[in-house]
Order: sequence, then C-alpha cells, then structure tokens
Amino acid sequence: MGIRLLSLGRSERLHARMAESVEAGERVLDVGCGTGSLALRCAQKGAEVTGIDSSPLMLDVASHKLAALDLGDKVDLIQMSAIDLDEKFEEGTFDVVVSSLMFSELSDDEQRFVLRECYALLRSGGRLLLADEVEPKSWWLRIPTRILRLPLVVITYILTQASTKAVADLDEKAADAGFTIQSVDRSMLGGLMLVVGAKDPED
Amino acid sequence: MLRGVLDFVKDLLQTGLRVLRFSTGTGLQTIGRPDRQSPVFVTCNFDLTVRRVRRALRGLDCYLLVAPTGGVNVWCAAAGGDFTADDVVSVIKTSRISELVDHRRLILPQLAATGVERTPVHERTGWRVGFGPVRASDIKEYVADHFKKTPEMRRVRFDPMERVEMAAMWAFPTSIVFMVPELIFWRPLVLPTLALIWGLSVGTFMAFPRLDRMLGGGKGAVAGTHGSSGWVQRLPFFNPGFGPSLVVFAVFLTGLAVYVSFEGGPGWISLLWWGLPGAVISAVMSFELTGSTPIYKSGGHEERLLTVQLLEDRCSGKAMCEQVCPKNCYEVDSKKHKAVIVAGHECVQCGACIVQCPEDALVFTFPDGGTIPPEEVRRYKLNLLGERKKSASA
Repeated sequence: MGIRLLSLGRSERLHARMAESVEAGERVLDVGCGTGSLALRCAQKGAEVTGIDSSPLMLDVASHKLAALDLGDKVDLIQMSAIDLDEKFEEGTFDVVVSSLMFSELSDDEQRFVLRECYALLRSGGRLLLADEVEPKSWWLRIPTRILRLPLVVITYILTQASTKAVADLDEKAADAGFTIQSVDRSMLGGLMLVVGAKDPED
Repeated sequence: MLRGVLDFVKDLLQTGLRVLRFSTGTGLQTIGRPDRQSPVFVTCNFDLTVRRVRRALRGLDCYLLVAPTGGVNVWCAAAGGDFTADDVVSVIKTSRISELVDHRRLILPQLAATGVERTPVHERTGWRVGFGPVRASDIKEYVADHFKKTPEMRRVRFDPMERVEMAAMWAFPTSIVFMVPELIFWRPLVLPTLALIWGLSVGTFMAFPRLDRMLGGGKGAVAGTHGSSGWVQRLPFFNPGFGPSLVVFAVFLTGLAVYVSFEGGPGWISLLWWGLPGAVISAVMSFELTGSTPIYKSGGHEERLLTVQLLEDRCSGKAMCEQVCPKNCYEVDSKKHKAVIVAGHECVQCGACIVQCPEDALVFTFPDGGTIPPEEVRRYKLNLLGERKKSASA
C-alpha cells in the first residue's frame, strides 16, 4: 500500500508494462514479489511464476490475492531473502527475471550480489526486467521531484512506518553483473527507471 | 588533521540527530594486517557506530563486517527487525569473507542478540555466531582474554556520558525547532529557551538512577519483585519516567521562583510564562524518550509489564541467557545444569535471552498470566512505539 501511495499509481502502470513482454509458458522469477501484483500480471499472461520475498506478511497477502483470481497454481510463492537465491535454484532455471521496487531495499553490495545471482539463474538469452526508484539525472529535475515527494514520504511513513529510497546507477550495476543492456526508460520526471537487460546467448 | 575535524563534526551531528538513520557503506573492512586466523567482527551500518568501532579496534589485526541495518544502531536495529540473521548472512555472502579466513567464527556485538538468531546463520553459511562485549571499547580486553567476557562486559551500564548523549538526542532537534522562529521573531528568548531545553533534558537523564531508587524502583517494581510499590507504577501519573521528569520539573520551577524573586518585578507572570512550556517539555520528554533508555520504558505500551519466565524442566544450563543478558539477570548453576534468574527486577524486556535460548526454556509473561512464546519474539520485532508489529507494513 505504501509503495502504491508513494508512486501515485505509477507502480500499477509500470507492472502492466513489465508484464507485456512476458509470454505464455515462460519461467519467470519475481525477486521481491511483495504482495504479488507483478507476479499476478505475469501469471495472467500464462507464465509459470516463482515469487520470492523475505516478508511472510507480504506473502500472506499475495497468496490471498492469487487465490481470489484462481491463479494460485500458476505462482509459486517462497519466503526467502534475495541474498539466498544461489542456494535455492539451479543456474539457468529461468527465462525471465523481474524485480520491481525491491532493489532500493538492498544495500549497494547486496544489489550487485543479487544482480550477479539473477544473471546466473537465467538461461542463455534470458531477460532481466528491473524497475526501481532512481534519482533524476539532472539537478533541476531532482529538486522538484524531492519537493513533490516529501509530503508523500511523510504520509507514507506515518501510515506504514516504511519508506523507500532511490537506487544509484541501477543500469550500470546491471551491466556490471554481465547483462547486455537493451533499454533504459525513465518516467517523465525521472523518478522511476525500467532497465531491460539480456544474458548473452553464448554465456 | 582535516579528517579528524570532519569526523568530530560528524560525531557531534550524528549524536544530536541519532533518532535519524545514518547509513554508511556495508561490507568488509580491514583493520591492521589480518591473516587467515584473524577474528572477524560484525557491526551495524550506523555511521557513528562504525567510526567508533574502528577506533576501538585500532591496534588489532582483524576483519570488520558492516551489516546492512538500514543506518540504525545495533540495539535499536536488533530490537526493531533491522538487524537479523538475514542481514548477517547477507554480509557474509557479499563480502566473501569465507575466502579470506580459515575459521568460521563471527563475533557480533552482544546487543545484536535480541535480533540475530544463531542457528539460521550457521545452517545457511556454516559460520558460527558468538556474542562479544556490549561496548566496542571492551573488545581488545576480550580478545586478549581468549574471547572470554566478564560480567561487567555483558552489562549495559548507562553511564553518565551515555545519558548525556541520550539527552542531547532529545535536546538537539528540539532546540533547532525552537531556534528557527525565535531567531527571526523573538531573539531575546533564544538563550533562555536553550537553557530550558538542555537543562531539563540533561537534568532528567542524569537524575534517572537516583530518582529510580527514590520513587521505589523502576520497572522491576512492575515485575512484582519489589512487591509493595508495584501498583504505584500502573497509575499513569506515577508512571516510571513521568515521575522523574516531574521531579526535575519541580527543581526547575523552584530555581525559576528563586530567580524571579531576585529579579523582582512582575514575578508570577514570568513564572507562569516559563513554567507552562517547561511542563510541556518535561511531559513530552518523559513520554517520548523514556522508552529508549535501559532503565525506563514509557507506559504507552504493554511490553513494560512483561516479565521473563524460566521453564525449568526445559532448561539444561546452556547459559546463552547468561551470555546475552545486558543486565546480568541470570546465573547458571553448573552442578544442577540449570539457569537461575537472580536479578529479575533489572530486566529491560529486550528479549535477547528468549531469542537465543537453544531450548526454548524462556517466555515473556503478562501480569494476567498470558505468555508470548519464543517463536513470536523471534519473528515479530518492535516498531517505533515499542509494540510488536504483526500486520504488514508495505
């Protein structure tokens, strides 16, 4: 709820867009699925989805949502931390790795580590769809974004005692982990970024 | 030199604003010239703490892992769910410490024990977690003594210096809030307001231990171990924390009256003028901050009424409780292989003993007999109001 409030509904549009490229029958890993809104959209496209999240409370909400839409058997929910991806899955297990608004919860080291893990878990030629909050590139956009965001941050914090922070160099980190960056999109004010990367077909 | 000055300024700012998060980079730091046998310490990523720990470790050859605790200090992060086994596993993996040393022993600050469970860390990474001293300044002695803790190293003392820091954490932001309008509109009030805010907060915190005894025991009285005065603590007015600030407030008012009588002039008006905000400040302070000291918790939440109960038939004297209790509440009878609660009235309800007990032999008990089992204490951490959060916060 907090995230939806903070992004003023943008997260829903973002998820719709991320799920667009997912095809029926693809094996999708949702890293930090939260309450499952992105996993759900991928499942509706006919993909086999695995959603992981470290919060049992969020996963409870996700499984209720999925059950209500009769998608319970299309999505496998696992309670685990993203840092343990290497232990749970075989390399090359997934066609697509998606992650939305989760990397901002991780420290810098963790972001790089998890991206390397995602790279390993993808099959050759597999895709990464990574979306998160970023700082706008230019200072003249940064200031109005911050001012616009401040009341939202305060309200969200009071309601849920949670907040988000921006990720630095999201696209560069994905590239460092080995991904070939195919596209980088920023939202109008530059507060959200969607990175699409691919694992080399020969790798 | 410049770095030293800069660090000092940062120390001051982060002490004054320590209610806020100050994150610093996580991961591996090298102290001295460590080799493959050197000890590995873990701390939080609250910037001020990392600097202090590094200073305390100077002269040792060791590794320091800075865990991702969201820029929160060790004890608060552990109690609030920002410092858990996940965070320790995370820093073990991302730092690749396993490639640098041959042993698999981590030393965590003792106050992390209320948040970090040892078993999951061992199962997931092969590393064994041990809890070192409460204070980083004791680490050298602890290492020199072959990693043995004295009871004194296990105890949170809440020294005068630490109390001043807590007072500063309250007074500094409050001063800023008052200073801004006063500097613009009401300059003569600046100095008296500063004196009021700092005087009351430092006074309250310095007076805690003495007032605690004077008012008939702190939370221990609630626990029933002090017997008679127990009921007094349940009245909001005599709530531990509120009482002391009332006393400080009274001292302040007396001082004010003396000052006013020397000044002559329109005495009683100015007494009222300063007395009212003084009352408000001491009330706010007692409600806000008493919850964050090891001696008092405000009456606003139920945790204060909890006592720890030892289920003796489960206990086999593994002594983890003795190792992690910050108030030395436990002793272990090595002949009977049983722990004994020797100082229950000292308990600050941090829950470390319950989280760490390998035999689940400890539980929180409410005055009405209800209990909070160990699984729940491990799973649900405290929120800002000191309540265990059980609902999703997205």
